[in-house]
Amino acid sequence: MTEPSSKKIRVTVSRSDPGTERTFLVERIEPMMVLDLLIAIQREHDPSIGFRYSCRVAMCGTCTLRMDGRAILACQTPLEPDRDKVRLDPLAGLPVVRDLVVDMKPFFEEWARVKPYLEPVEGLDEPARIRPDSPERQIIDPSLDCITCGACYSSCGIADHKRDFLGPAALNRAMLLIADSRDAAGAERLDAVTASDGVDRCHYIYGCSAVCPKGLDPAAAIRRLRRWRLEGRPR
Amino acid sequence: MCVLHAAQAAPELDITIVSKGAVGRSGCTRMVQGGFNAVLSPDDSFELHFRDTLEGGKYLNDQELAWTLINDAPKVIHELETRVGCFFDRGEDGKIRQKAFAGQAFDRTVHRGDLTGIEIMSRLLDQTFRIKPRELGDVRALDLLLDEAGEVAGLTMLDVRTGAVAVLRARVVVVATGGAATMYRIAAPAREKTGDGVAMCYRAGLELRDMEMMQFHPTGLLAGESRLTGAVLEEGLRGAGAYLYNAHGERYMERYDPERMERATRDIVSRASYQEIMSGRGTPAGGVMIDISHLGAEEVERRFAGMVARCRQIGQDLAREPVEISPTSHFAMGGVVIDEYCQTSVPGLLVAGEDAGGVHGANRLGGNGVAESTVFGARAGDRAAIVAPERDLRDPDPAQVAASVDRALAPLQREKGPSPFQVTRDLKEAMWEGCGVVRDREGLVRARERIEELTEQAAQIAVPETPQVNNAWQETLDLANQLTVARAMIDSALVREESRGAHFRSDYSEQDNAHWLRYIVARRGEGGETEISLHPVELTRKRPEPDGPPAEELEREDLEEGREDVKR
Amino acid sequence: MTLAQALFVVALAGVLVAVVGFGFVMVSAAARSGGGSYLSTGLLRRLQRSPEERAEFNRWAFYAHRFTGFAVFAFLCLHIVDISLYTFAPGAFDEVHVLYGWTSMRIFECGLLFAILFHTFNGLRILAIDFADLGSRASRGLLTGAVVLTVLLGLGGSAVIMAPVFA
Repeated sequence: MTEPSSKKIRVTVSRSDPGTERTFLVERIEPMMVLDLLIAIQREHDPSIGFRYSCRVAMCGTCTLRMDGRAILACQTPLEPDRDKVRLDPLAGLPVVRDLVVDMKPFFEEWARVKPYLEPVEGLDEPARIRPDSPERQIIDPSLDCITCGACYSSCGIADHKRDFLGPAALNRAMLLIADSRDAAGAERLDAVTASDGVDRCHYIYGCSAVCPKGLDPAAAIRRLRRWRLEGRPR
Repeated sequence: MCVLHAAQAAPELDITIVSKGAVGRSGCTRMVQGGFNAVLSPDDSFELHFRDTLEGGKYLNDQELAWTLINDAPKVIHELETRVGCFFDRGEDGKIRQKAFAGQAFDRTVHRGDLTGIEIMSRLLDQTFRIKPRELGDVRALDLLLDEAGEVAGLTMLDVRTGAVAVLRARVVVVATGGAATMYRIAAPAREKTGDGVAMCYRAGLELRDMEMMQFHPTGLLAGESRLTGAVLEEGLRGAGAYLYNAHGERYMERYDPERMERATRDIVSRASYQEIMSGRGTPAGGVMIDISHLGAEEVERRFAGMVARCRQIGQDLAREPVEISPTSHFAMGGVVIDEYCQTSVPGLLVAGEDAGGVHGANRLGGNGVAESTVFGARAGDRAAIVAPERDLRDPDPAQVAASVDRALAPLQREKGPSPFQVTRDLKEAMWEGCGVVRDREGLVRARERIEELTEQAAQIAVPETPQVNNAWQETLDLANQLTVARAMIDSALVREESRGAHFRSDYSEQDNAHWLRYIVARRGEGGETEISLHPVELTRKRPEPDGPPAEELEREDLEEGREDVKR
Repeated sequence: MTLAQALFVVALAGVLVAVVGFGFVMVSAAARSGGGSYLSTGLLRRLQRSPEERAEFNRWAFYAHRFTGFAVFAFLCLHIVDISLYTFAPGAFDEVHVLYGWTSMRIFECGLLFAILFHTFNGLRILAIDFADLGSRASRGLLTGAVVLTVLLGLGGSAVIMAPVFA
């Protein structure tokens, strides 16, 4: 599996300190994730390159960047064997701290605005008895695994730290809480997400659903919220 | 969990979270796969869970801590479900479903699919938007600061983004940074886990116990040079009946644990795999094979979707073929000596989670890890809320601040020196070879010498001069902490001349309850060397069964040894 | 050329400049914050790679929607003025409307027709997404439909508009 190969891959990385980009020729290994590529650059070519990662198993959501324009998790995106060049950029729509590292603050500001935490209904003193096949869990379970990596925000086309839009991740979170029978603040949240900076700003570009590394569908959450505004919350 | 509890108990407290990664998104709790052990069913009992935990920990546990864990776990599950907003998998009746886990007499592991930690951590992170503590993300703690009386005054810290250093004065400091399992060639944890907390406490003169106990998870993925190597394939695979084969196609567990086979506890399976690999029966890349395809491809894809995806990433198909694995370093059972309230010998300093030692003894049960971090996180928060108002802000010793900052800035100022990445690699290699799954005196001594060499090299490291987001610099600081912890581990491992739980000595391969129902405490001596002392385990609640030492003998030992009691 | 005609031509040129400028600003903003969906070999590589990458077409539809929307709006602003001439200066109205028969103006009208058609069909598509709860794949199918309709009706309409030129 690890037989030595002399294949190289040409990597173009956008850098912030000289304000330009740099190209590296990196030795290929098999298998190779984009994260391995960055670690190889750091070790063999330029130790000053700025990027971040933590868990490297697609759980922490900190290694998000753009490969050929598409937002990905560096740790779980393999480089196809026939690929000989790749371009890496920091996430779009967020201020760059250095090189490939962005400041996620605007993303979490939007996240915070939908009240992302449970407001328990009165009398919730025991774990709620909810069947796994109940309608609410049918809605919630497939959309629950958000790791707040920001890939959707970057691919949105509307969400940007200079614009007012809650963005796909925050709207998805709001949808989950509104659907949750254990939560008491649903009506308030529905008002918030259907305000002028909420669901109506979505133009169904589907960037979010196309890139989500956990396979979630925030666009579906937005459609659902728009429907609930007309039809009322499911209860 | 700690912040949540501290803010609940005393809303007026001024709370600061210092995290060297992204707040709530770095570290290992998010990566928890299996689940959370808690006694919820009326047919289960605290006594049963306690017995399982002690049997797993080979009676090296601090029994009061273990009991606290078990006693509080159901409360925490309760709180996570009804206040924090977590939702764990339900059975058909709508009640929380608990699954079977290795080494336990009852199905008591609460979970959400095959990825449980993300649910707990995400919902706890959401709580911070309600509580709004001061968050210093990407800010690493450098050293604990004490005042003249030896009490907590605060800490020095470094902003990873800007490279600025600062002093944080605090009435109470809670250390919860996670263990140092990344210091092995094949390792499972997130990259932040470099033993910073343990090293900081050690430098501040605190006692560390059970440092020799490092758990290896038997099923870590092998993916060549890729960083994915070491990522854990979940325990449930073995639970579901996966087979382990060596390169000759033998189910080698027959030789090591014919009764439980692949379902034996982590320490036994890891050791078996390691011995197969070391005696030349492993694959060319140094691994063994796990095969679960006999359950049927569809079944595997349905039940272990996350794991199938993980293997597919490296071009392997878990559902249809065997996948190459190796033991991977996973969890440090050892850590700072604490009491049931997370208090240490330094007033104002609390330690919780993997940084603390004694809860799990010589081997941790799957599912007790996230239970520990939440239970003791909550307790530390409760305690902090009591202790903080009683204490005033202390003045740190300026000399200590200066020394800490100088040490941190030094690599930036050197122009020539070794690369931190190479030294880290060498450390991982040295630990894997010398202080790994199976140890002996000779190997440990060699590893000890190697650590000395690497410590010298680490003191010469030079990094690029940019202070902002300088990964090489951060790696150098991590490395210093890893080396500190590595030395304490090796020194402790040298002393324990028996095999117990995760610590296996090929030169002393038997468990020896007559002499070694004692735990090892390491602390920093005056000259910087490790001072080791031995303390008998206090069997306050339960004695080893079935063949523990006679009671009189233990009592006599207690008297003879005396016990230098930790200030509580 | 009369004064009214000259003023109209200048205003129309202004509209064209505004439309082109809008397109330019939109594309450069997209390159900065729109997920990197600017034209590049990287994008071509992506589109070849997997079907889900073709969700990017929804993004281009969004850009096209905004662009056509602005173009139609800018022209409408001018058009309201030239139509309203009829109420207070019928002579000028007649003079200006002679211009609509020029060949270059007819070509402009064809472009306008395509813009209106695309904007209409894409707008209906977005409504359909909400009403029928369509996902990425289905909405891409509808997008193909909208483009095909735009092209067919646009070509037909263009033939009608251009017919007098070739007559």
